[in-house]
Amino acid sequence: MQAIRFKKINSFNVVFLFVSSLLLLFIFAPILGIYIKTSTLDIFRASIDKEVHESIQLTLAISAISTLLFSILAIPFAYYLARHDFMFKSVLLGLINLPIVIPHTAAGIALLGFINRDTLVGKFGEMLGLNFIGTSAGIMIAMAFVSVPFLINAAYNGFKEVPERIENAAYTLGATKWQTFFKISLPLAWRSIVSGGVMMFARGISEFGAVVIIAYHPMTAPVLIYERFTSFGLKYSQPVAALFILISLIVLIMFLYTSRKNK
Amino acid sequence: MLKLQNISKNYENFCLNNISLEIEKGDYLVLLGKSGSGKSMLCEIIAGIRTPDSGNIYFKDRNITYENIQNRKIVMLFQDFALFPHFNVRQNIEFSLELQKKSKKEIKQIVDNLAVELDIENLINQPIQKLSGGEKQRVALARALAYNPEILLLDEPLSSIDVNNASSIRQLLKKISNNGITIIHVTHDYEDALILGNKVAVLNNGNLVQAGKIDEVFQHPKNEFIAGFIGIKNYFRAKFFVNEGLAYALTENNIKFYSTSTEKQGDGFVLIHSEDIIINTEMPHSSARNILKGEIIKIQKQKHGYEITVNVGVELYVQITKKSVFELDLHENKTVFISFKASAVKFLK
Repeated sequence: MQAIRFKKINSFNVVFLFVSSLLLLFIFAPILGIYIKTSTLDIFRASIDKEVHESIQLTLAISAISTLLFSILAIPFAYYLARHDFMFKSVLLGLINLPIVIPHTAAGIALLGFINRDTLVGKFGEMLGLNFIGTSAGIMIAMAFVSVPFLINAAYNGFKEVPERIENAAYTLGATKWQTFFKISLPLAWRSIVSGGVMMFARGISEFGAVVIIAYHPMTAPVLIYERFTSFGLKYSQPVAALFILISLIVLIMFLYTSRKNK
Repeated sequence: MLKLQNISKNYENFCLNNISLEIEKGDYLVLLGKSGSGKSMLCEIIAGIRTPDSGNIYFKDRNITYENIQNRKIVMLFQDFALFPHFNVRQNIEFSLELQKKSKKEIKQIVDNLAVELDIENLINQPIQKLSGGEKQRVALARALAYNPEILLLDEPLSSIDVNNASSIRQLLKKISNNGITIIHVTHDYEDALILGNKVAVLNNGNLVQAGKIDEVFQHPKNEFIAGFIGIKNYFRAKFFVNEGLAYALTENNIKFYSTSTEKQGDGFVLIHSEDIIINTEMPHSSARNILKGEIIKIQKQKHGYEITVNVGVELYVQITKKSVFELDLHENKTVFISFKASAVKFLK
């Protein structure tokens, strides 16, 4: 690590350093603040509160399942995109990110219109015994909708970095497309895919807007925090928030670890 | 064994025009051409990585033009080796064997044999990233040979390797070829053709200009382009000796050429550019180490000057100007002395 050196004190450096410090303060002050205001005991109490830890477990589990299930669709799709050129591909690549940029309540409304009992999808789900409204399945759909672009993008970039020549080399050595995909392309893109998956998972657990519209119950952690805040006030929501931020921090560290370039 | 029939392909402002070519089992065909001549594309069409727009490819009388790459048994070695970076050396070589579901014992035996043959035993457990260019080429060759291919396609196999390694890879390719594998070798270097090939096909701007046995093409270039590109007609199989710091080559009929390249000995080729040879009507007194008496057997007018063929025991081609021909009164059957410096004699191995 190189130490920061103040070679010259000039107005430029001073202003930029000042602006940077302000921004860092802006990012970290509220998060640090919540831990200063909330006693460790309160956080501990929150963690053994049945409603709290159940909602956190639920949130983590649904997001994990949503990530795994949608990987099955997103990985082949990303590979296809990385290996084929077609008209309006760049437009499609841009539009994939639509769920990220639209207001998540709007995303929830759109989704609700798509999966409620009156629609084909809703009816089909009902036939399979799946009800999306107010259920874990619905929450999973909502989480996936707003977070799957992260996985698609990461997997796309991962596959793009695998040279086609290497796949061709495998083909000339007698490997089928399936064998080449599973033995060569997927392992080589794996790091990007995992990092995209962790990102998708992280985005899933933190989703509020789309989830709350599809299902207020069963309560995910972001919804529970919101409910504690509206029913009991700031003081009562802080321990749960602090606990959940801690969990998100762990996920963030996982993401940073998996997205490191060199192994 | 492999027959290309009127292969054409248009791709991004470049086209391959009506290429027809035939290769027999055991041939070492060198596809010679400058960069952008279409030789790599032709290679990829043969491998099946690309399909031609028109024309057919027959392999053992079977049309394989649209056959899957996997079913061709034609392995391509890429210019940058295209080794699998997440495998080590052994795993790279094992790749095709494991796909064929061979037994562990059999796989180990094949890999160990190849490691000995290609002199990579000490690298076998190394990660790919640690290898030099020459080592990567050996591993890529081992990986290809493990598949037991009918044809080996080599795309510029010596271009990303330093000179010393290139020479040992050439020896290796010779050895592989002698084992009976048919090889198609893409290169821009005519020396590769001379040393390795038994057949050569010259490509220019997507057209096949001339194809045939090495001697046919080199001795009788069909047009100016080939003559200029190959640029060498004086080459002889020879043995090289170094004696007390003095290097010389002895051709098969015992003509001696002195050379300055002392680093190589043994069997190879002597190369003398026809522009480097001087014709004298009398015995010259000069610093030229090589002075040979001979008889003019042919005088041929060319685009620039004349090409004189002199028999000094072997036939040497000499390029001179029109003015020299008349001033020296050169004509067929005239006895002359030819001279050239030792540094003009190149030895290839």
